Amino acid sequence: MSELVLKVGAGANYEDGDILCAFNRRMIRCVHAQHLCFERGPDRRFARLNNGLLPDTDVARDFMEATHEFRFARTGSDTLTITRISDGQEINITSNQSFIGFNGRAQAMDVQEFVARRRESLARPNAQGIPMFGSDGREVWYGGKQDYSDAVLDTVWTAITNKLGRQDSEFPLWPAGRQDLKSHLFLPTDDFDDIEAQALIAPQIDDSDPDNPVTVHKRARRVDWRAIVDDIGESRGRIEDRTIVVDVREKMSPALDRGLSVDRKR
Amino acid sequence: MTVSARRRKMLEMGLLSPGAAGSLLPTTSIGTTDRDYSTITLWEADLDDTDRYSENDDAVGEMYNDSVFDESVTINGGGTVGLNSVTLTVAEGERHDGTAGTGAIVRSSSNSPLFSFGANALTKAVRWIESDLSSAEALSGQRYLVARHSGGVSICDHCLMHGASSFQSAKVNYIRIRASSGTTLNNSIIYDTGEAFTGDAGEKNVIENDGNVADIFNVTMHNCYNDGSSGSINGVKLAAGANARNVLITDVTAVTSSACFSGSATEDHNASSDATASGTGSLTNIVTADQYVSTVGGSEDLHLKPGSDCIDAGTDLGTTPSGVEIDIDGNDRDAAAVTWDIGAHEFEL
Repeated sequence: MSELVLKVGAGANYEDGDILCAFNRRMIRCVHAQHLCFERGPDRRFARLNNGLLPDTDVARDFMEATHEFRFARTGSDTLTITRISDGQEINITSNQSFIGFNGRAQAMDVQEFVARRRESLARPNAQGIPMFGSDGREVWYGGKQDYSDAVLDTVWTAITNKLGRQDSEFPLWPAGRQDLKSHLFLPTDDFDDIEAQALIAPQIDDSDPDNPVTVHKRARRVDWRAIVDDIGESRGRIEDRTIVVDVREKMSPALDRGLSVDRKR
Repeated sequence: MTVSARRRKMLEMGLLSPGAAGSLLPTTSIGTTDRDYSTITLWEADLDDTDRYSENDDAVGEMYNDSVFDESVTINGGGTVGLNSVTLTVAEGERHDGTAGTGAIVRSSSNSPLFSFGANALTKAVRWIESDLSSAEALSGQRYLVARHSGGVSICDHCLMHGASSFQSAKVNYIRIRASSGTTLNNSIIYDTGEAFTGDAGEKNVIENDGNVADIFNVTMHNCYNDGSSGSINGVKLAAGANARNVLITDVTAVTSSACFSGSATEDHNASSDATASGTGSLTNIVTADQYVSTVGGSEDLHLKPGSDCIDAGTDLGTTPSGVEIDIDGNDRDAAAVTWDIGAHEFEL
């Protein structure tokens, strides 16, 4: 199941029913995976080691390995191996010596300085720094482009299930905020892909001058929720009351039919 | 219940933060772990809510590093209520340390500017936010920040911005300034941005303004490129009326022409890896490898390293504009009475 979040009441820059956010199943899986892999509470399954690093068995490492482009592994006080995870290609570098990286451009690193600064960040209270693994002098971290596609999330959730015993089916809903469910209307709908998600929340643009596009409306698509309030199963008054939580995501049945209910502004 | 009575009730309930004497400064949390709002968009959509805000309030949205934010936001609410300012920032302890992946982060896979300041008279600011556009297979028009409005000031400071490629045609600028009441960009780091589409032609500018006041102070910029077959690029292209001071720019490259600094802004105490930094105290043709802790792709750290030419080469800007004295690590140059460096990082601190 996925969700659309609607504006309730007109504002200076929005119309009543504008689709503010569109959360598909991939986005919902992704956010909960991040919560579980980087849980911050005292009961975190994998606690940091005394040196501030995370253990190599931490599910956070599975997350980083699956989602990031590069793995960086310190092999000596002044040496480092960079691995492009997708194909396993490696570049071995020495501190402060220029080399041509995977992007074809000259680059260099002061390995000791870089690691020292990262370890200092890890020591900050309530700070996460870059999740670092490995051991003193053999630190491992990740970087580069990130991939949060469904295929990658499948790998992440497999690790979460194996190591934490949790399933993504336990997390069907977007983690709405305290005020979200009072100010705005969350409606369930069948799943949609990322391209449709972008279209649902796209602004209405006048691009007759392509170098100077003007936003005509902050949203080009809306749902006339007032016309389907009986299907939603809540009264207009309760939906409009910004002091109470109204959450129909697990009650509204059937879920919103986007084909029938999403209007595109002219 | 009157608006004022409702706000007093919300203060008692802890839903609003008390501000200066007689005022209420509504600061709200944004994140996905038991916060007020789960997205920046949903927070922004409530800026004209008279239950939460009153005329002349300074609305502040504080982001938390609970998960990656994936959205593009036009910040133009608050005009109906009559807010004085709107600030999107990151809560202390959740901020980046000047390198990627260390604090609250926004990425966008959409075709819209990541942050767009819309048309009303409010002062608008984005602060301490890391933004990563590397995953956006964007079409024309993708930009990091567009400041286009009249009557209000735009501020972007202590931000970490990187990764914008594959724009594919059209003239695209990473930061586009068209605000008639002035824009300030300071103590921020920009890197690995440009046009990777080799079939493209045209000029890309990382920071461009259109003639309105723009102050670019203590910014570090590195590895900005245009790989288009006949493309060109400028690190900063500022019109007369703009000021660039203590700005460090290295490795701006293109197939046809490139320049770290271009335009007709007032410039001094800048540094470039080419010959284009100008004005009093500026440094040209500096060696990139001598300046930074790391330029390794995916593990960039653009803090200055020992021996950098930029150390103690800047000019003292005091405390104007407000906050300019705070470097990318949150250290106060003015309080420490140091000799300023060029760039976002104050090495001595």
